[in-house]
Amino acid sequence: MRVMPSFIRSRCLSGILSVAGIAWLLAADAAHAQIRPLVIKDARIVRGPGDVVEGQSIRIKGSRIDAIAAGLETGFLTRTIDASGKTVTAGLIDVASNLGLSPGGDLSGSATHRVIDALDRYAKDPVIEALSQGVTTVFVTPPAGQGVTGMGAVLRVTPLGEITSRVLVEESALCASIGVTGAAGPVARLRAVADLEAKFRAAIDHRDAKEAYDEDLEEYEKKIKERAEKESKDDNKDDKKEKPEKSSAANEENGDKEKKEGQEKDEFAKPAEPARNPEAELLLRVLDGDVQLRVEAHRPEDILNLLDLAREFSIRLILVGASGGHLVAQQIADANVPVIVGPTLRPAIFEDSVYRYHDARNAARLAEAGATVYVSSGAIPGETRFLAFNAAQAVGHGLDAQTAFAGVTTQAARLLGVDDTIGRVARGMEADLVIWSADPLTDPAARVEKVLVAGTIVYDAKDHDPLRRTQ
Amino acid sequence: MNVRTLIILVAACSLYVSGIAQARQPLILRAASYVAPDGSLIDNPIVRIHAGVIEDVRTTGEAPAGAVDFPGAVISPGLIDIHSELTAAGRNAESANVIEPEADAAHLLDRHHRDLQLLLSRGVTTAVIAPAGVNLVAGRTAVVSTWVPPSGKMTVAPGPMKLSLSPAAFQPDREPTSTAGALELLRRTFDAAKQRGGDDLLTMLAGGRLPVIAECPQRSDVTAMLQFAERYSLRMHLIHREDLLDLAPRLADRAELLIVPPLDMSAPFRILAGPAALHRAGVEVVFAGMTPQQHPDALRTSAALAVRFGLPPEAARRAMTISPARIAEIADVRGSIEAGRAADLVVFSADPLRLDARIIAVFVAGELVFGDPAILAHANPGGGT
Repeated sequence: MRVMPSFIRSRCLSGILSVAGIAWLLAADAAHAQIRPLVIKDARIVRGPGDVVEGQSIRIKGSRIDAIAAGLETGFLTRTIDASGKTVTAGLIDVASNLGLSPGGDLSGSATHRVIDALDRYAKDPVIEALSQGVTTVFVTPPAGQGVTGMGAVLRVTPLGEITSRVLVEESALCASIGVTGAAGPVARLRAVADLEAKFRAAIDHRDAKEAYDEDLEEYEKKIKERAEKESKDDNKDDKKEKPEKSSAANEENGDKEKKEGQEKDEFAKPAEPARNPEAELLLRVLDGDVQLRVEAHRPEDILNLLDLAREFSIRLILVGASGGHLVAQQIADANVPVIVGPTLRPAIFEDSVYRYHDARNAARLAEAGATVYVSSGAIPGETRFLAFNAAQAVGHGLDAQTAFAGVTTQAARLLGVDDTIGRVARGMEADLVIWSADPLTDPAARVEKVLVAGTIVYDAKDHDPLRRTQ
Repeated sequence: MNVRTLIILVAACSLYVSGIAQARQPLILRAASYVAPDGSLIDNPIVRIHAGVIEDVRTTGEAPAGAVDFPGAVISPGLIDIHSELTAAGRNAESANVIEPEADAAHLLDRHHRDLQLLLSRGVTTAVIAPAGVNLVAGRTAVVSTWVPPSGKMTVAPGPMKLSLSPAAFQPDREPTSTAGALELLRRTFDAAKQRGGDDLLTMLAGGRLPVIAECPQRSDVTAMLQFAERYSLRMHLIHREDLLDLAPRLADRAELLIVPPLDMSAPFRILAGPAALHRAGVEVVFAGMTPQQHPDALRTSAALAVRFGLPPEAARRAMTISPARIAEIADVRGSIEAGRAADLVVFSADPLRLDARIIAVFVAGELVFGDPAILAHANPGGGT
């Protein structure tokens, strides 16, 4: 029996291991995205609004864009997607979406309600549908209610992984609505704004009370310490006498002494701690400018009242919906309050409808007056999918095309505080990309072919053809 | 008569005459492309308009001096809404008789209604106004022009008869109370009318001498109505949206055109893929606007969504123009840019299928009815060929 010499054995072993290793690497598995670079070749790339290059390639390493250039070399381990004739854009961002929320949710929100907790983790279809139309990031808005409805979050649109792994910003903006649901008469809405104001004042009072409590507590503890020091001096004198006998009698005496001290303490009255008020804590973060406040409102008078409120408390206000905003466009622009508009078109409006001031030219007029405008789906169920169509319609009704495109890409990312991560096709950004069959900005027949989120292909049109049923 | 009156009279006469003269001058439009009758985009059109009619369309040769140029723009036929309740909404639901062929939308029109201007401003130049679908035989539709000259008539022609199987047509206190009952009632009514004979609307309807549109909300309504139409040799066009994916193969040789109510952005994908399935089955798609309940842009929104889901762009452009004209039986005068048709034209800043395309000008019967009048400032009327 021949025994293999050890060096041959080790060579064989390393040979087998190398082959196995390479085979493993070559396996086209999403998990290997981190290891094997991906190159999207020879595409027309819309890097940002008005910034288009032809015939270039994008190299993705891990979850990030590593390079954009013509003729990138592709190594042995590189996966490639041939995108000649195709157009690549950044994934679209819907800054006011309903995606992921179960329909018919609870309409009574509160400041401490977090949309993250209400997401339906099993709702894959809406996610796939949104991806199929190029949307890769959403700000999820709590369902509209009266007053403060909860904290919205920014999430990636992907069917992979747990919800927690999709969160880009867990606490992005506190949301509220005025006159959207429930009583929407003029008095009710005035009261709603007044309620908001009262809540902010209550939050300030709460802070004042806490500060006063902190001061009082400090005072009190100082006094207690002083007394304790004084009494310990007395005690030391007593202890020197009584040290050998730690009898119950002595303890009883100590007890009496403590009672006497307690009675004396009561003269100082330990300050009562103000009740915990999570809502007030949250509103204080808004007042301090740490958290944005979004308010959905649809009447010029409500908008003006909200602008006053924002000015009074120096709040970072964002208006949502803002039907009728075109009537007070200059005031909104002067107040530097951004506006997120919803659907450009609405079906027939009746006089008593919430949207009675709706105007398809709202976004255009606001932008003309100098306000910052974002086109969104308005958190209407199902409409995140067609964000691009809604933006196009706004342009068709007068909004500048670059502004509209920026409002679903670069500017949207800036609004959500994630512009160092997503929103444009550039080196160092996350690879949230859409590969279109043609230029979506000019060709109505352009369709989404593939979508990448964090460098992984999460949607491929070949796997999802709604027409297949007819065969 | 004193001198002053005479001068005024002469001035008035010459203005009048020059007005007529103006109208008699040809208008020539140029653009980057236009929507051809087959729905495709063809480059460099030169459209010559005279006396409210398209005289001629060329795509070669030089445009004469005095042509109005729209660089980069696309000229489309005026859009046609095949099913609307414009100016009549709220007043067109008379539900006393379930068979009401004499109800006529033409009696309900309000030529001063502001919705007309809204539709014009969005490029819809013709609308077929229908009675509400609250009766099985709901009544006669009316084909109207959305721009009414002061001396002109709003109604262009009587339109198809409307039948309805929508839930509103089924009321608990009268026959019919089900689709089966409805078709049975229709059969009885038609057979009786044919036996009676005569020239009233119902007999004409039963004899297949009137075009018909039928609201069929459910899949089973579609199949039932198709059979009914075949039995009575009706020129019938169905209105249906929900189950086109499933129905398309069966509609293949039985329906030439089918009317699709507005597709909106909340609709499920299987509905949005319906028009493409119809097209594959050889059925011509027609989009309805359902104004004023829907915004007039609903036509273009339907078209854009359908194209995203596979409807060829040419078919989508036809679906808003020549195809509704065919159903309304006015295709010889409206719905396409060809010699002899009415000069109802919309100048879009880009392909009308692009929702970001803006409307630069709207012409009805050769008159600029929407758009900056300065567009025509440099038009040289009478520019020779």
